[in-house]
Amino acid sequence: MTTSGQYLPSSLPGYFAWALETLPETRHLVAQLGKQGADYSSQIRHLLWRATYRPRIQWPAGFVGLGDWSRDTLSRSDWDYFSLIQEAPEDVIARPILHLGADQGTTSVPSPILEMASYDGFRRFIIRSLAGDGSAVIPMAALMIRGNPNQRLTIARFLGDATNGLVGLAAPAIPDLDQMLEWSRRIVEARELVLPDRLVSLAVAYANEVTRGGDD
Amino acid sequence: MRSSELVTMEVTVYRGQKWWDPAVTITASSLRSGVGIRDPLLWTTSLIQQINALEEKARAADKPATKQLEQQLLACQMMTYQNPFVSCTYERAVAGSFALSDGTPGYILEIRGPLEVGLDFEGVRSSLGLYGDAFDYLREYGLPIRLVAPFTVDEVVRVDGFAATVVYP
Repeated sequence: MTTSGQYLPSSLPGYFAWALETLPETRHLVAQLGKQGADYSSQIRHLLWRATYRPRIQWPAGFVGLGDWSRDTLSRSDWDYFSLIQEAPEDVIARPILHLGADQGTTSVPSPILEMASYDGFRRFIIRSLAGDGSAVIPMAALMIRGNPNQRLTIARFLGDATNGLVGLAAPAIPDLDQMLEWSRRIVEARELVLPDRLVSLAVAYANEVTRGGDD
Repeated sequence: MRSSELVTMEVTVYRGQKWWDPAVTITASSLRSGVGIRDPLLWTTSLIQQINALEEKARAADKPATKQLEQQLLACQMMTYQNPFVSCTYERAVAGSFALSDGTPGYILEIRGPLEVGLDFEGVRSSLGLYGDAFDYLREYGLPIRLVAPFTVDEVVRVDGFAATVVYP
């Protein structure tokens, strides 16, 4: 899943591939990139962008159900993480202490459902952030604050490279409370975050890696 | 993770957590987080079987299985209901991060047992060329389903900031 890209922060190709290969709506693009190579990369931006605005969780094979919750009882929009917790990501960032590790506690939503929605959002916000959508940093940071230590580790590392160090970590580690509070403050103060659009560069690097046979 | 093989190596790993009670068996997160899952043990066991089967196929150069294993291991470490292992680490400092997460006290357990019984996440990834960069730092070793024999807890330390107190044995 890893790809190389000399002009890209080292962690981003891996995160890009992770999201691209596992999101239900973008998996088919892997094959297209493999067949058409870098020529397809400019087209992929539009397709990825569109796909990442449609929450959709895949019910795991063999999953027997969660009481009243099932794939049939939830509408498509219900799968959105922030709809499930009934909080806006901006509110989570504005009051991080109230939400610290909240997904690990008792919630009105069964934890597997919440985790599926969080994982779904995590991968979509990766694509959006890499496409230059600075607003995606807010929900991503909210997932980090409410999530478990593993989620914090992966999100903090991603944000460190995606925001060029404005928030997040430059090296892998589980962020501590003070760091997350500081990042929340920076995000609130920044009001509008501008990120570089790296999507086509990442798609080119990915396609080159695939066509070289390094992945498939 | 092939329990039928001859056990030749012992491993010492660490686990960081917020509570510890010697009377309570520590279980895989998929057993604990499955609110509403009808049979958490069946679910957990099936996850283990799935990972074992995928690893076996991946070692036989089955590319779809290799990709599926890569994704399953990522899911394991991102979603507690997908993780059929008691998460441990080879690094005491990493366990300390978990124990002290959110700035509150916690416990570090030192655990010993036969290497082949659990899953060395990074070992599997590196031997099969799987992506897992985001989690390399954890150096995770998973004990299947529960912390029970043949694994033993050798020491438990309560940590609070920079203070550490041995509470077991």
